[in-house]
Amino acid sequence: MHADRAKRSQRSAGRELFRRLLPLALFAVLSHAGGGFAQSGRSLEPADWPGLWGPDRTARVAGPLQILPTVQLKEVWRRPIGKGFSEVAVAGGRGYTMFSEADVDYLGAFDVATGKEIWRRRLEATYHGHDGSLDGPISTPVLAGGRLFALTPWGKLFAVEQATGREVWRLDLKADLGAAAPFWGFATSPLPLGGILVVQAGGATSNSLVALDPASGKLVWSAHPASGTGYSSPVAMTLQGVPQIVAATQDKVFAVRPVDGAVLWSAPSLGETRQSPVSLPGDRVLLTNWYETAVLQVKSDGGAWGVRELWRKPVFKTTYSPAVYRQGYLYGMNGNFLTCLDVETGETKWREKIYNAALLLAGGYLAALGEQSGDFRLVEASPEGFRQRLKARIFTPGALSMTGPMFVSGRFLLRNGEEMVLLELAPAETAAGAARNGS
Amino acid sequence: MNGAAAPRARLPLPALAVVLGVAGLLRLAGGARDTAAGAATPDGAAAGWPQWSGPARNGAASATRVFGRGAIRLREVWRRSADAGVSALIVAGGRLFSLAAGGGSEYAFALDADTGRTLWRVTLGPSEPSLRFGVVSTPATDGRRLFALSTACKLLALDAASGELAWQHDLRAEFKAGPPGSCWTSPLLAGDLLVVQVKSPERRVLAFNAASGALTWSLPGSEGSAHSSPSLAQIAGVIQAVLEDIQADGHGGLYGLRLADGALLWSLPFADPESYSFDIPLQLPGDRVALVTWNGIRAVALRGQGAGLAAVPLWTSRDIRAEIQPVNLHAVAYGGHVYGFGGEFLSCLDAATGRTVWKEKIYPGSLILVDGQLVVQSRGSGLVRVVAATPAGYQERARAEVFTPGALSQTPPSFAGRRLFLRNVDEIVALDVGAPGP
Repeated sequence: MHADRAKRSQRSAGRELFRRLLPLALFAVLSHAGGGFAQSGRSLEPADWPGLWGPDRTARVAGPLQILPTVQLKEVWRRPIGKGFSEVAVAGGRGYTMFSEADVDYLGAFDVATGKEIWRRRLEATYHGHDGSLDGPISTPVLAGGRLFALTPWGKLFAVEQATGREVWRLDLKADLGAAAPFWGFATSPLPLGGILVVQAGGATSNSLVALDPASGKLVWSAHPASGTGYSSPVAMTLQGVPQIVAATQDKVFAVRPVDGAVLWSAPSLGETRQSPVSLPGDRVLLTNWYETAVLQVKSDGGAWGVRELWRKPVFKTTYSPAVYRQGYLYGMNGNFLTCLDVETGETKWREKIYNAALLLAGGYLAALGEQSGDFRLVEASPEGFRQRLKARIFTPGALSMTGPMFVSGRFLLRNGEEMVLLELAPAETAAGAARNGS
Repeated sequence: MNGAAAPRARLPLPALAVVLGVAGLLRLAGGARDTAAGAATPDGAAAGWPQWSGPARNGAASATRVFGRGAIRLREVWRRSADAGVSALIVAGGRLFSLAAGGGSEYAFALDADTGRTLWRVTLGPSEPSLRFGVVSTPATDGRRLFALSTACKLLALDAASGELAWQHDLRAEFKAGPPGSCWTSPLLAGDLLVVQVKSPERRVLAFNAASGALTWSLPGSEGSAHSSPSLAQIAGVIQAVLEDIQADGHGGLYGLRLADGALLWSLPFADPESYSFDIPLQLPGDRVALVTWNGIRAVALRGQGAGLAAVPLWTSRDIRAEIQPVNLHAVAYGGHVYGFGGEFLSCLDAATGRTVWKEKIYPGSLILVDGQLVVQSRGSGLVRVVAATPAGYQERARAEVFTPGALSQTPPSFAGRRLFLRNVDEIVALDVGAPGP
């Protein structure tokens, strides 16, 4: 117990809690420059958002920043959506995601400009939450070669035509690849890379990580340097100039060659996590889970790979979105605190209580969507201190939001288990009257 | 249950005293006119909120005539900061008690219920770093002593006025309870008995004499739940502790122990997975009990008498079920209906059939029953609501934004002396309840 806090003034009972869009003192125009921090060298069309945590699975997108004197946050559209935590993959003006309605899990396509549904395809019966988890799909669908790949919590991987949703092939990770069902259901998102689709299948005795032919679903290679699937997703990164796929399971973090799945290096992981390894400059890899954070230094000496832990601290007790890196500092949620760390030492620069949130670095700003508050914030990503430039209530307080903010054509796309919203940052004069008030 | 209960070696307490004391508790269901009946006679600890799930362990306050028919006012009396913990706030004799974790230690504390001022705090041991929500167990009080269980499974009896230690047991050292960090259960104080559920290879339930700390009886066996808590019920005329079972295969179940001597009266293993939770079993009218599990609420009926008492599955419903919360009160029973949370919906079920009468999306939370009204603490919105406990439909009678939206509240409200006591991850707040003033 700390000393008694001064009594606050009584807040009015019955105070309106519906979403409000606040006039803003400052406005950041974020224009998508594409490519992100693509250490993997993949390019990105400005209007695309390739699914889980952006271009490099680091929850970062680049973009120049313009500050205008007065602005508002404009709601472009808002529509209901079923339960689920899947992010949205966007390409060619269409968004693709999974959701659950009336005990059925669907994969669906919608028009990003209007929010209107284009098609939906029934996948299978809803995986009901248990032991405290919630109903609905968890994994994020991905796009490659005109096809869409979606993994259900039951472990069924569907490949469908992007234009129509028509099924091309399907694979049962349990039956076909010997995967052990994770306790909370399959949550991993496939990784399209070059001509393969990489899936963290989590086979019990083989097939920890597999590469599939996107055209047929046939196995291209299989690697099994670790056991236990965990809930994280494989990430493409370039370390010591060598492109590789890095994945974390309950027991190991490891890297394989994209071409044949040959294991390059392997090290103990932090344990069960939904977080994926995050690529940092200087051939470093960030690992986070519910309890701690570690930074690994990866080195290759004449073909012999070595991994050294630079530091490990009980910070960034992250939940559902990654900690993000910018210019020598890491920004992440440490329980209820948005926290800035020095990447070299792990020392805390500052922290601010904003309660749990999912983060995205867009330009020099952290976009944060509150897990329980429904609040969307833009905070400067600066080691100088917490500087909030915008806060608006987007979703109903109390409704759980566990899907990170997405960034499409300079707009923020947000979803929770009941609504999806497209937000635009616009000058006040054009936004006036367009901003939606009340419910 | 794993095997039958061993015969009890002794009956060390005057059984009559236990029965009389506990019958008093059971009568104090107050607003819950389903149990026993009669006018509540608030006195001492029982008039307040002396333990987990309230005076009768059924989520109901004993007070009556709290709310009129008109508007309801919720007025803040005091507010103060609080260290980590989801332990409920218990109130007796003008003092408020609970547990918290901060500065590397776990502690019990007492506040002045009128002002929120700290009266004392006593360290229970080092805090458990992996436990993100701090402490879970809710202590119990008879007004003279506070009985607190640490997450490392130390059971302490403290003087309610001073915090001075009266007696203690290390349940891990003495009874192999554990592992450390796992003792989330809230002891049941019933008359002179303090009943503690443990997960141990040797015992499932320990009952201590509250005055001396001596072990009165225990239930042998392994497995068991260290997270759920014993409830109290009078079934077929016998006062008993009703407890959640966790079978070796991970399925849940219910069983009843005669409170006086710990004799196993009945048990019912559930056949399907995820059929357990951290919730306390819920008394229903007419010799029935329910358990809110991860996959739904399950009601069972007790048929027969004495040694022939048998539990029969009655109904199940997924509209009330346990969710993400570490430990919470998800359901209460009132007037032939069960009100509770299933995911984002507050639902009203017919207690006889399990049929859903209504459901309303108000997002997850916990609830207690006060004078025929549901007092609902939202988990994430910061709102506390007063909702009529009626099958006629969802009727919100009052609401207040007590906490910052987004800040988690995983502690159910407590009610004592016309006051609601609320806790979230940051703060403790006292609200006066009444008609709007001038």
